[in-house]
Amino acid sequence: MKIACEAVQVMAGEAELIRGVSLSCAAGELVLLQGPSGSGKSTLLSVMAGLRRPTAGQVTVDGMPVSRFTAHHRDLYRRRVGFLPQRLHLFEDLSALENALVPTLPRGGDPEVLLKARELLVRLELAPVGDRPVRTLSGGEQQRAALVRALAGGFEVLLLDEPTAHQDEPRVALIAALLEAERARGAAVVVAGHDPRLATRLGLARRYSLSAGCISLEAK
Amino acid sequence: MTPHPAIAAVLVADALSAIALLAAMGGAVRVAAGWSPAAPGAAQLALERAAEEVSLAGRAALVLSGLATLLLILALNHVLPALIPGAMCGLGVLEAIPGGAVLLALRVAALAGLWTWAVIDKLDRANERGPLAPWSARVLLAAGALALAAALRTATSLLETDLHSPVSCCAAVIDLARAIAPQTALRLAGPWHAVVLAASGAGLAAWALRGLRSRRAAAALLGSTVAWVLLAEWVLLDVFAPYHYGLVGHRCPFCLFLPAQGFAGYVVHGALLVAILEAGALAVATACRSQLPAASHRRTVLAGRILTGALAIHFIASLLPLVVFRWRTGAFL
Repeated sequence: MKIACEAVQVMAGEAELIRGVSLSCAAGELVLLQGPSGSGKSTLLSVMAGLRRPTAGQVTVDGMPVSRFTAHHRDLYRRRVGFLPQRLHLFEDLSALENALVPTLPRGGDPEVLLKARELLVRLELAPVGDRPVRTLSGGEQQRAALVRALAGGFEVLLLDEPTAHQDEPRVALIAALLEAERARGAAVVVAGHDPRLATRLGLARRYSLSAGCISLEAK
Repeated sequence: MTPHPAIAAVLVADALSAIALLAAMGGAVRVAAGWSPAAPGAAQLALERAAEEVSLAGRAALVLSGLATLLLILALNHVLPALIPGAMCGLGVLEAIPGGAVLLALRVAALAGLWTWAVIDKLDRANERGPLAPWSARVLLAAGALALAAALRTATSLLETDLHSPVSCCAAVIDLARAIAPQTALRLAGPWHAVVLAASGAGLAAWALRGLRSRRAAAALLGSTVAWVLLAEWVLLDVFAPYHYGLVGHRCPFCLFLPAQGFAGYVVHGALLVAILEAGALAVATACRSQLPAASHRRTVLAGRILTGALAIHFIASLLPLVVFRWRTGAFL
């Protein structure tokens, strides 16, 4: 599955948040999106996830313009995307495991997701706290719980915004290993962030840089 | 006109429907004029957003317009007869309302128009890209104009209703029946009406369930359904009504809505309305078959089943009092 942005523009009133951004990430590729705070990384990821419509341009998945789909079909597309937003949007009274299962509710639950979520909780060292409400977890643990939710579904497209926020060095290594495993599985993985610890650990297909809403392709 | 709460409810529902319709029609004008899906430019993406807003506002307008029509029928049958001298059912009330029958016909036509749009819109949204969006917008503009005219006519007619002059109510129907009965060429012996109606209804249902192959066949089915509905209405009033009322010669369609008749009018007339709406849906879905084959097939199958159900419900509800009468007395009226 290949996800691509074609000349995407996003306006908020008179302000142009993203200007003519084009990028692509094919199945089995890992792409890094870098840029200073406020450069438009999170906005671009939300457009790619189908949460926001571009003002011009389009997001395509295998050539299908998913950002222009009618509402119901955009909802169906969103079910195929693993998304880690900058603001985590966890259900605070649910446990990390329950949060990971929430995206499967429209499908009536999925035993495979349950198994994978349990495995990810162990790999991300959340097993001891996996049954506690996430409001009782630390910031770093909540971040990893949100990452479990994004990865547990075995999605074909992964859009991850600052996956290593609030993480120490060993946990960054864990997360990098997980992302590599997802890439090897055949997922198209787009990571936004400016954590150099992560960038050096990933086998990147491309590295894009966003600055004031404009994108450029950088050397890996 | 007394500002009765029932009338106020109709007018408020109509006003809300009109607001939603005007919002939808504003977007529909832009979509119909500028739709160009090939290039994802800012103007086209704005139209795609507008098309989704049109769909939401249009569906809200349909629901509100349907609610207003239902409230009007409830008011006609259960509220206003008490306020108009001589009125015993909705028929007497329609006599007191200027252009009452035309008003009712206009409302049903507007509802059918909006329903047709809703069917097209639903088919359109079954596809990711909304290939019928410009057509859907044009149909909404036409149906919306009709619905706005109906709402305006409703408001002016209800506000001009004469609450003081007595009306003749069902006497008018009896006079009309006496006038036209001798000229009715199709007059058959009582039980044969039921047989003809059942046989033609079964044929119509079989045709609808089998599916249609062309737009011409779909139009023919729609026309046949309308003809069957007219026949059914005539048979209802001419043959079955005496068993409902327990009174020979009472051919009023509105008294069937009264509690004394077990609110049968809502079932028998409602089923006929559903039959016409679903025959229209079947025709529209058949016409869209080339663009949306899967969604069109699903809708035609559904429409065929609902149409069949509506015909059956109408026939059974109309016939039941006759069967009961025959079982109790061993005779026909």
